[in-house]
Amino acid sequence: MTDNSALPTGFGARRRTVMWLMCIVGLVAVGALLWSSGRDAGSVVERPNDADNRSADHSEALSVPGVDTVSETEQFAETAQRQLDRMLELLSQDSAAAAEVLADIAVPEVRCSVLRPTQLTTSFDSSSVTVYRAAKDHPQEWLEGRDHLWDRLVLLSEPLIGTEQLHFKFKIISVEVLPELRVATDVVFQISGAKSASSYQQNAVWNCVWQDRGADVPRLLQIGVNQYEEVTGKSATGHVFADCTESVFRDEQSFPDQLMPGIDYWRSAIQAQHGVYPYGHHGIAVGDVNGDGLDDLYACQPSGLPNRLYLQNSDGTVQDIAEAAGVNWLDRSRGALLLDLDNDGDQDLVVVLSDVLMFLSNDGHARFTERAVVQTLEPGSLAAADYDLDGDLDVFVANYGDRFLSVSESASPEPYHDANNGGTNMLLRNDSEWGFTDVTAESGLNMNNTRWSLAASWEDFDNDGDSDLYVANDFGRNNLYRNDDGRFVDIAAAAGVEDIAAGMSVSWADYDQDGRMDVYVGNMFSSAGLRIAKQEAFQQRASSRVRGEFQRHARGNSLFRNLGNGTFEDVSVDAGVTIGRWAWGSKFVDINNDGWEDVVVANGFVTGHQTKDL
Amino acid sequence: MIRDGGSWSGHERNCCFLNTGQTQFANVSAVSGLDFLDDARCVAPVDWDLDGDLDLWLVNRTGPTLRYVRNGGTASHHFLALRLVGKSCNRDAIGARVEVTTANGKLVRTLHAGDSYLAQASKWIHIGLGDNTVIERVTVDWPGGEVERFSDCEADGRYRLLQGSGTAAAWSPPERSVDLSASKLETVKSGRARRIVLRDRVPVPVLEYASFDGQSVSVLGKPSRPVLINLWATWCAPCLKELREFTEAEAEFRADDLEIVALNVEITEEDRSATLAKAESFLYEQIHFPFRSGMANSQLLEKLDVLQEVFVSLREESVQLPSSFLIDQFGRLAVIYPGPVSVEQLRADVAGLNVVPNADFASELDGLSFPGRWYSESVQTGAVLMALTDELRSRGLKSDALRLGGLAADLMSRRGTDRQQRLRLATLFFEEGESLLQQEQYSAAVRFLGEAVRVQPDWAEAQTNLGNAFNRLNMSAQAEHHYQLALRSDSQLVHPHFNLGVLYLSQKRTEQAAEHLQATIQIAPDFADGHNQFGVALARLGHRRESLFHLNEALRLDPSHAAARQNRQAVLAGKVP
Repeated sequence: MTDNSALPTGFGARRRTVMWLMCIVGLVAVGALLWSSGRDAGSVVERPNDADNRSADHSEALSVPGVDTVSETEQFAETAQRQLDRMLELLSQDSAAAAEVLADIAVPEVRCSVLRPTQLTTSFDSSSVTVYRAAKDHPQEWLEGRDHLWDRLVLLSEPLIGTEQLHFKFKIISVEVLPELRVATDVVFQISGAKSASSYQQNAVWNCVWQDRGADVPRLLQIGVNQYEEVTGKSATGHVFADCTESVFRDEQSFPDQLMPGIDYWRSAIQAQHGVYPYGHHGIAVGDVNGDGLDDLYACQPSGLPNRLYLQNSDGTVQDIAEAAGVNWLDRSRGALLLDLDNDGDQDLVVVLSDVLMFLSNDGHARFTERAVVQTLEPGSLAAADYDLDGDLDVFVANYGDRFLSVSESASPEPYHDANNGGTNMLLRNDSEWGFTDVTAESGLNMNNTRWSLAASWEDFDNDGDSDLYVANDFGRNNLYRNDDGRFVDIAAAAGVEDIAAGMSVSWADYDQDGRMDVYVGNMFSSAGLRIAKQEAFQQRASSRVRGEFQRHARGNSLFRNLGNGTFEDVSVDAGVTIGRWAWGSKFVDINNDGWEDVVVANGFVTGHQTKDL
Repeated sequence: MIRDGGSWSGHERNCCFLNTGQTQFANVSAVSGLDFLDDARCVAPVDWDLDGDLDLWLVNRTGPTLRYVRNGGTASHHFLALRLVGKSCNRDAIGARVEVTTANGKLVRTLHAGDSYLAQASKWIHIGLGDNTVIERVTVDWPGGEVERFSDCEADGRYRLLQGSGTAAAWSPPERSVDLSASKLETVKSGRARRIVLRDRVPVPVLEYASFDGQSVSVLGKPSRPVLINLWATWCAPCLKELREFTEAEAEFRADDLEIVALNVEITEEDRSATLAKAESFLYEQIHFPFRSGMANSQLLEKLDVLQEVFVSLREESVQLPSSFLIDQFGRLAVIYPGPVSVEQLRADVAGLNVVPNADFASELDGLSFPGRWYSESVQTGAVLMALTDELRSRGLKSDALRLGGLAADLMSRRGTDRQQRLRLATLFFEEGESLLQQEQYSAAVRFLGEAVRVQPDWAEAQTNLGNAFNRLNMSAQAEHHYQLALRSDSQLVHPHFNLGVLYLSQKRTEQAAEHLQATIQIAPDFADGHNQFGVALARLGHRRESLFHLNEALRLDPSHAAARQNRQAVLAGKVP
């Protein structure tokens, strides 16, 4: 044998790569024709949707053996909610038929308080909206038996007789297991309807106690009403706002062609590689681009569809002039601002194009010229202010993360409830002549600056004459950067506005008219998340602090009252503004000109064509 | 799940909370009229129609993606609208604080530019005055610290406040008559396109079907002629209707030089011959179908599914019936039709095949998209081919993956391409080369491993295996070169060191051999043959004692190592092995 006999040694196939695309091996659907539109039949009663949150995903993983495991209580909540839905749906039936079904929903000796309290005080009254409330300790007037339950349900629904657009929704926000196979649930209940020139809604929190019957559906032992509020509206259309969308776009072909189909349609129509992202985060900016005194609208659009610049006509309708204006970008566009960046008296534009910021100047007649491009990460929200008080506008850029909410998010927030591994936010200083300098580090804004930021807003919260900055972050703590002569310090913790939750928006206003600016933060309200986070089995090895943080994550929107001493008070629950659902843009708006700032919440994550929700 | 059309916190109605004074809000979501079922994102208030109250622009994910809702007004309440013009501060006066004093107290507003979420409201500061008709004072705290008082503001008025002027200039909107009416638009939850025009055309995988008499036939016909693949089933009424229409349009399609291949998909039917008879009877007895036809097999359907998976982000979970795929004269996929296609549309698309896809995305071929311009570079065909290669490979369609992967390798500029993509492509070739090595097909292995290192030159393992393939072909210069390249990328890899050492030993380059064999056993001290070969090198260099040490070490690690034993005996006997 010679020494040359050694064979070359080599490598076996090693999978060096991680990210093979997910695939669904689906072949021909035999026997189904699927191209009819998935539009709902127009049923009178909206069937409420149940499980509503990603937290529901935790239930499997966290379930432990025992009576009140998370998965068991979640199953209970689901059946209990179905029982409540059935009960309300009975109102469209005659009492004989209803009685039969009611026997399956409530025990014979069910106790029921008055469901529509009669002793109400008028807590707000105007020509268009009136609000009535029951006192916290209003008499419950308990009665026993299904007949009384039925009578009280009928009384509850009385104001809704003859109304259209009837909707109701139950959300079970807590499940507590009691002795003797009883289960107590707190339930948020809303019902509403409208007639030609009026509208009506009830908001209540019920406490429902159930007889748990194991595999069988639970039956109601008791319904009590903890909170009750009734609202009536009067106007030509019955509502404060009327949908004039079709009218405002009536001469604009881009509306039926581009805006009406929705994001899902475009995901099915545009070659995937151009990347219409599924979640539809494309902002708007209002401003007068041609100096005629009428506000116009710039609308950002997904990749492959042009951004639109809707000029307002004198009759209030719009016409798109994006092409002539030179701003019909096809790149994925998330946010934009119309601003006078060069102080020449017209509205210039800064717009997010995929991963860059494009700055364009306006010639005063809505013709735009590219002036500067700044490379960023995955920018979303933009907020401008003159932070250094040198007379021109600087721009803060919220950079969410590596791949903003795309299907194949490559980075994940860690830990989920307090993540600091997102994209780096930027502050761009306007150095005039269309020069913009990244001063993030120099200004001290590089502190706590990678927290998956979705939104930001400047405000002089401490009334010292300069703009401070609040940043809403998706997975944990928010920032409040105090401006000290152009240097920033994050004082969110000391000021009491960290608001550990899924921050999605920021709006400042003096809601209580005390001369100090308060802040409203959009978050994620999740009944499933609340139920689960309250369960002992959930994160049972975690500290009470972490459990508290998880609960806060699901509580919903937050309102912080500025106390004037550098700190804020969390008044969210008492003010009644938490349940904004999966809230994105939440905004103070005085909707009725009474000087008191109201709140509008744009919400809902993804409604697919399948009816089942995650 | 969302990718496939499921919901996640969907079906949620927008909320509205009415401030009932100081401490509490009332839920007026339904009464406000804002409780659309939309997947809503953004809110931007503006008195759009200038009637004295705040209207809203809303952005949605669902259609309509923009909504304008008009405030119906509150007759008994008054307002004040102010547009600030900065002089020493920024001209838009962003950050200015306005204080309006009435009999009821002070109202404070700040002018923001971008807040809430992805939204910018009007720069008109709109202040509701409630029942107040008398404004006592308006004060502006301009950015920079200047505080200025403006007189003469009246309720229900609009004013421009110029910094430093001290007077509020009344502003009237241009003459206009607003003509907007209400009509509630329902939410469009989810729609599906029935025609997807590809901007980046790439060659289709090999597509074969069985003719009714059992012959395997390629879908692609004559070069220079476009082909439409049409999938149908005998139970599918819209399919039959479509096939009749195609038949009636025979003359037109012939004039267009379009080939049609109608493929029946009822492969899962148990009674295959009955299906066959039914299909043939429909095509040839009932409608006298004048084009090609046959049966689709599962592999063909799988490949068509791959094409949809790669090119369409959101689609039904399976191939729809009917479905058609228009392939251009060069064998590249051009249009996907998940559903029926009209003769007119098809003819228009065939005519459009000759139009070069427009760099500005909106080609004449695509009636559904719109003109516009890109800032960033658009997708490269190489990247599209790569996506297709990935999907084919993940489904085990290896030969198609390799064929398209080869094209991708050429088309993707190495510098510009994402490292992950390059690695995936290189892995595809690496695995093929490795399996050929095992089958002792060294020339073929060289081709694939060569492709792997062409795509990913710094991949040391691939360079090593390529060196091995050359080694086995006795092409030692090439082998040496690739071992060296491997070590340049990763000097701590044992295999290239060892193989180089052995190679140099055979070439009597003993000092170089010793260097690499020493590195080998430093990296892998338990590698018996490494010690053996190093022992040989040392013996040849005259280091007898060191040589014996390593030959003993080899035998200690592997007592059955015959070569080491032989070599040890030789050294002990005073010979040079």
